[in-house]
Amino acid sequence: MNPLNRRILRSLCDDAGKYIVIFIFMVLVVSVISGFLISDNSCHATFEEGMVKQNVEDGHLTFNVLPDEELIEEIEQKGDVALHELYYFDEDLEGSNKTVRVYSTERDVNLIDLMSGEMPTEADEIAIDRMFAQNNEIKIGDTIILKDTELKVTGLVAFPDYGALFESNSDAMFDALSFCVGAMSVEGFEAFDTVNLSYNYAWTYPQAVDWEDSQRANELSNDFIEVLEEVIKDYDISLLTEGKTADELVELSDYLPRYLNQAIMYAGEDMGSDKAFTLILDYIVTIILAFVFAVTASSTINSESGVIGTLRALGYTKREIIVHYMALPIMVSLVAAVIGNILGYTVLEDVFVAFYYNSYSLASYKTLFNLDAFVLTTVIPLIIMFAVNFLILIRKLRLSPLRFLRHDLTRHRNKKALRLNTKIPFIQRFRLRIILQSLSNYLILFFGVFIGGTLMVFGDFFSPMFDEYKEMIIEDRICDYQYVLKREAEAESEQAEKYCVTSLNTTDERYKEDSVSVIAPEEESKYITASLVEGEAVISSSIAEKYTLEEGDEITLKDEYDENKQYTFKIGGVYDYVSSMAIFITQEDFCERFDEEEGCFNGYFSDEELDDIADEDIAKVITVTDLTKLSDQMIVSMGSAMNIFKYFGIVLFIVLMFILIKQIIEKNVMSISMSKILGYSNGEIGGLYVAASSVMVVLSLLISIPLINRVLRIMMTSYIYTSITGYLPFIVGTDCYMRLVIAGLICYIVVAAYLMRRISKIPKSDALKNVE
Amino acid sequence: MFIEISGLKKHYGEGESRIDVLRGIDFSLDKGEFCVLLGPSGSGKSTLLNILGGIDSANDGEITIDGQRTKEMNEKALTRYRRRHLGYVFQQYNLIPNLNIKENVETGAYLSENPLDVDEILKTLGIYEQRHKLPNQLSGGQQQRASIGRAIVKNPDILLCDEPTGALDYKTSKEILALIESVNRQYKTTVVMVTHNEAIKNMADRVIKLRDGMVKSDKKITDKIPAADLEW
Repeated sequence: MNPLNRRILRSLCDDAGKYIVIFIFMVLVVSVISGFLISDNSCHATFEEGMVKQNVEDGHLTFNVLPDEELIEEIEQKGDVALHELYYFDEDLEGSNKTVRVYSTERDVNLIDLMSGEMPTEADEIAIDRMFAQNNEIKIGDTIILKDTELKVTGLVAFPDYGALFESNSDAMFDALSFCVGAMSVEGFEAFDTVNLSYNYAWTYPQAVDWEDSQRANELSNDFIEVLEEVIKDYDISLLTEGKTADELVELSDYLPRYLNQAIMYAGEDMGSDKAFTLILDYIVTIILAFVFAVTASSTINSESGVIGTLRALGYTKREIIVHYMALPIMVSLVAAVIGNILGYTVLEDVFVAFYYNSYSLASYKTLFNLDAFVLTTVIPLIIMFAVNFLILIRKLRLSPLRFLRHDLTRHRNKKALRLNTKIPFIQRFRLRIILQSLSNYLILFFGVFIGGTLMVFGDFFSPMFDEYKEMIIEDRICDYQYVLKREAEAESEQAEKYCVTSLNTTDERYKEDSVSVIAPEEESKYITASLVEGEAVISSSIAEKYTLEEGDEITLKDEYDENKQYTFKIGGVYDYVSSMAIFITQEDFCERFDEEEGCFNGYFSDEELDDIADEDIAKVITVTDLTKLSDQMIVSMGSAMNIFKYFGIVLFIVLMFILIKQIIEKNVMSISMSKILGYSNGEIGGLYVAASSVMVVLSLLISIPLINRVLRIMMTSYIYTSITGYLPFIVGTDCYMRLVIAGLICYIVVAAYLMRRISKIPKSDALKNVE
Repeated sequence: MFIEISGLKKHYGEGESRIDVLRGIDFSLDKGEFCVLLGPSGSGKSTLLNILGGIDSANDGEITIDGQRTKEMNEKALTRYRRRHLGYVFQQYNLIPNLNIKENVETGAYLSENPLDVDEILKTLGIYEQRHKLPNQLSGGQQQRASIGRAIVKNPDILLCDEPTGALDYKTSKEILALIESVNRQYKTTVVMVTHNEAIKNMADRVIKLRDGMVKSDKKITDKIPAADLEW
């Protein structure tokens, strides 16, 4: 046996600090990223499987009135679809402004997954969404009250068509805090006394659809809606000829193909985009890992220079030396990879699965082995570690044994030493020399501080951002109660102010389709103070920021159901309004553009609740709670994931600082030892070496801040804005950066304290023993 | 002749900064001969030893060892040559800090096809009792003994010593020199030792004095003095 092998375990103990840091870093990278990818993959597979197993609809449509059999058959026949009755009603949970959307358990599409308990069989029983129950602490056996009716919760369920609890498809975010879906027995559902019944039908195509092919999905949907409009039009003409009034005509109040349905698609898309984001993180961390390996390999060779030179002079081959010096890092990395994977498949997977299950109403899932995760988090880092060590050793071993014996391993010697102004005090020049000598280490340190800082701020800025956004929403709200009416209805209150509203969709293909409210307030409105000019639109600041629009630009919107019906507005100004996407025009413009009669209205702004409008006439009431539910939901569902980024950033900070600054100290062991012989105290030496690093750490932190801000802004505009509907403001509070600097400095102080101790332990004899 | 050196030249740098370290060295050595390379600092003696040991290369001239020309050896062959034929002792001991003394000597034995007995060597060197200690637990002299042990346990044909007593006191230096002398005698190892200590020349069979990269004198010593009797 090669006697050098006996060193391996001893070297591990001798340089425990370095290897522990590599070990922790690798375990962290492998466990966190593989844990995330495994859970993402398993949840996504469950989600996709559920789409087939639970026979999810290809779309749904809602009629304003109860359609008769003849119409349904006509639609099915001409549209080549099957319609499935899925009536529902929305009722508020008593004592709160939370809404429960109740369906019947009888269905042959969107089959409900029972997560725990039992499905309701009696009229006074209900099964409700697991997520909502969890968020509102409702347990099986509890009783909830809907419109004075007591219902016993018998089971917790997941609806495949409500994977993300979007109450309305135009909502910016799902809302598992105040919106719930539930199912009652057929008997219970039919007996329930409600005025809010929606005549909703799911449709399915006879053939399976590839939902990845959005063009095909779009074609199918367009073909179907054309047929649908045609059939309804003919049907309405026949109703009119029978003498029915306009109120009795059939209209579509909702039409939503599956590929546009956020409640169905959002969870899957979110998992996909989370995966993309995690892979970017994985690549960045892998690059850092490669740097760490390179730095440690290089540091090992430098410190073992004399030994390597002697071994080479004695006749040890390059291969023997390479094998010897690669054995330990490979062993440490392999053990770290194994432990990282074990943690990834157990603890971390549970954490990330919990994150998805805290956000989405997913069916029960099972863990799947993820080869991609294994390759990306384990095989690639191991290969990189192997390659980096191998290349550095090969490159260094090209130097003659003599160079190793002389500890002269630099390939390019500085022809001239950089001249420093002698007016700079000696100690400062000394520090400058240390910084110049270790510039490459400090560059890697800066890169690490920047990446670690980005992760930390990314994990830190969301929560205060949502809090601030919430305050902005409350501040900028138009009124306390915004009513949208189904039909004109008079209100007596002095607070009530009529307005017209309609909903259009955005056309900018870089973003997901946003629903924009086109609002026409009264002249001299007390609720909307924007100065509106005929022929121009004032856009909300949310649209202006998200779509980077300003005064003088144009915005083109389209009808929700008809792609070809487009409306272009010239922008006359920007109005401070962030709670939703809205544009404001004059009432004259509104009537002209949307072909409405002068003096029409379909809503009220009011600062008090309007009691004199019948429930049947109200389409919806938007209160402050409705406006702030996005931020409330985001705070709940993003908290745990964000903390992981934050802590990951902190660990990255400590690891890189430790490895890089330790290496700088080790490179200078002889100089430090000699300085001690000359009479410098430990404090003074620390003041030279550690202070030089302190300056660079503080500089790195300060230079990183504007860069981090820029990166986060780019992420916000090019990543988040394109993957969500609605708007979020980009606000990174100064306190986030303060926390970054403080956390960075605390990490550094911990590292510096350790290194000061290391400096104090360097014996004076080192300089004497090794002198050439 | 066992070792033949002819027209050996070596320079560092180019142009104005060119320094000629060896300007054409010629000499030869018999097998088993004890040769001392003597000269002041900068005379080129360490460079000559390093070229002879295959860890540095010459710009011109050639070295033939037992009929083999080192110039024609590629890097692999040079490594093999060092592995099979050479033992190296430096002024710095360069022991592996986390291997004990015996294990350090074993790193030399591992390279040889017919190594000497490690324990015997340790006994001969007088460090057998310290064999389980780590290098930093030993004095400089004991560490140098271990480094000699590592070099000779291979049973090399040639032992190259670069200022082996440079960092040692008078008494320990003499002990080390006596050891090298006994290795030369006992194992018929050809020894080439670089020193700037004039007194050491008296224990050698040959003394080659270098100055400014050239051989100033090349003498055979007929009245050798045992190392133990050297004085300086």
